[in-house]
Amino acid sequence: MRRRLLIGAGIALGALIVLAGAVLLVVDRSGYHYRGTDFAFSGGDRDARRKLEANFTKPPAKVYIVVDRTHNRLELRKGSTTTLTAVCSAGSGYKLVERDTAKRKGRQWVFDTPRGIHKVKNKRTDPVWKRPDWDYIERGEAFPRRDSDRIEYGMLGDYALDLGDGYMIHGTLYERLLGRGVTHGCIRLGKDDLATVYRECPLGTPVYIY
Amino acid sequence: MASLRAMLLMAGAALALGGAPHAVAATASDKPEPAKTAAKKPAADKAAAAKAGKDAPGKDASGKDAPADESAPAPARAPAAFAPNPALKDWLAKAGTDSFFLVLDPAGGTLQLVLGGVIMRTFPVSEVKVATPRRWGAAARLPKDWHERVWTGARIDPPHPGARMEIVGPEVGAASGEVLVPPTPEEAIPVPSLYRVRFREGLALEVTGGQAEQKGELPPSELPAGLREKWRLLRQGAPDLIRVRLRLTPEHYAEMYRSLPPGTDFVVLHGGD
Repeated sequence: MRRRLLIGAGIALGALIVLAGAVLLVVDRSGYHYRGTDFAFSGGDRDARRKLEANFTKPPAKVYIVVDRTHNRLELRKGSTTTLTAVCSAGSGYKLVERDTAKRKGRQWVFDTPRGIHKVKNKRTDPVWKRPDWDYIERGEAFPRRDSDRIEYGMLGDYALDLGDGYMIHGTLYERLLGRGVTHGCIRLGKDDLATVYRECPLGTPVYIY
Repeated sequence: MASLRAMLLMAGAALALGGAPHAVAATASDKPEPAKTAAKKPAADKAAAAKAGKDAPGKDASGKDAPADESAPAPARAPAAFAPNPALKDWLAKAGTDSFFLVLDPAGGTLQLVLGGVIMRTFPVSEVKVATPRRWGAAARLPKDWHERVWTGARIDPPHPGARMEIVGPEVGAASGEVLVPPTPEEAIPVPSLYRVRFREGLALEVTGGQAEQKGELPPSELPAGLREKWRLLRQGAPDLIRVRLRLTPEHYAEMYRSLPPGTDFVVLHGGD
């Protein structure tokens, strides 16, 4: 009799645990208590705070460029107005590793478009491209003996806007790849969009990349 | 209802775990770290940028990262009258500089990604809720000034998948000529049905896009993951001191997950109060 009572009590306790666990999961799966809140300012100088908060959104009055490097999208804006939205190509994010050789220890490159604030430092028409080492390594080609052999014409399209340290906004021969991150850090644009950006952006134009 | 829930929680926790010491849902040290002063951030950014720059060439790269823009808007001067929160004052004064900020405007119903005073992207927010962990069924107190701090160092959870794709240059003359076409952003970074943006000081933005349920509940297909999280919560305590739940449109929800820069800071605006 006593044994049966103990078994019954054990079963009841087990059932209660299961029930409580289920209720716990249904009622409070997150373990957090959610509520609405007011964001009332708790004290201090409200006007000062408002003035400071206004600093967060003070776009330049003149033209500037915003690039979403993840979604390969470039916008030309003036103040808070967007005057052009273009599909572009930003860095692939790939890492290139050079093979170790007797002469050279393997170097590495990461092909990211750098986030941050930049500016147009130079503008060129019919830009030429001086192929860097990584391009030869990526293609499995030997380095040329003369620097002049590195020069290629037409690869960068009709215009190039230099952002410094070799990063540019330029054109491409491969417009079908626009919208994908395919570059080595530069920003590629289609022919018409590049012409607009070149025309609208003077030297010193800020370029915001995120 | 709240008291019933509290009782159920207490009973459930006590019964399910036999009153184990780890069954408390929140840690004892619930006070978030004080907001850090602004002075160290740019230096850290520059160091990180310099480090990245060593192997981040552009098309004609010299191997260095691009420097911060000299023509960036000058930092605004913080009025001396703003004394109650000096750390925040410093940070706000730097709002026009080269740090990324997520700026929540509850009155305007927006979350904005801002860099140097320029709005990179605006995400409309249809709902804002705030949560604190439960301790034995009772919710922890919400720090009064939580929305007057700067929360720093955003980290997405779950993180973006995978490591960088690594390509080893072929031997000279051995290239196949095959052109590698990278995936689209949508293919490269699949978006989970719920994600959180965690900040160093203990606040997390819990972002929902309409697929995940309200109240932190997960769709049935993700129940096992939800149970694992619950178990971890009970064993290890609450991972976040404060959660701010934001509901975005599916498009913006995915976009923010993919493109939010790591290390972004977070502030709440009070312009409308």
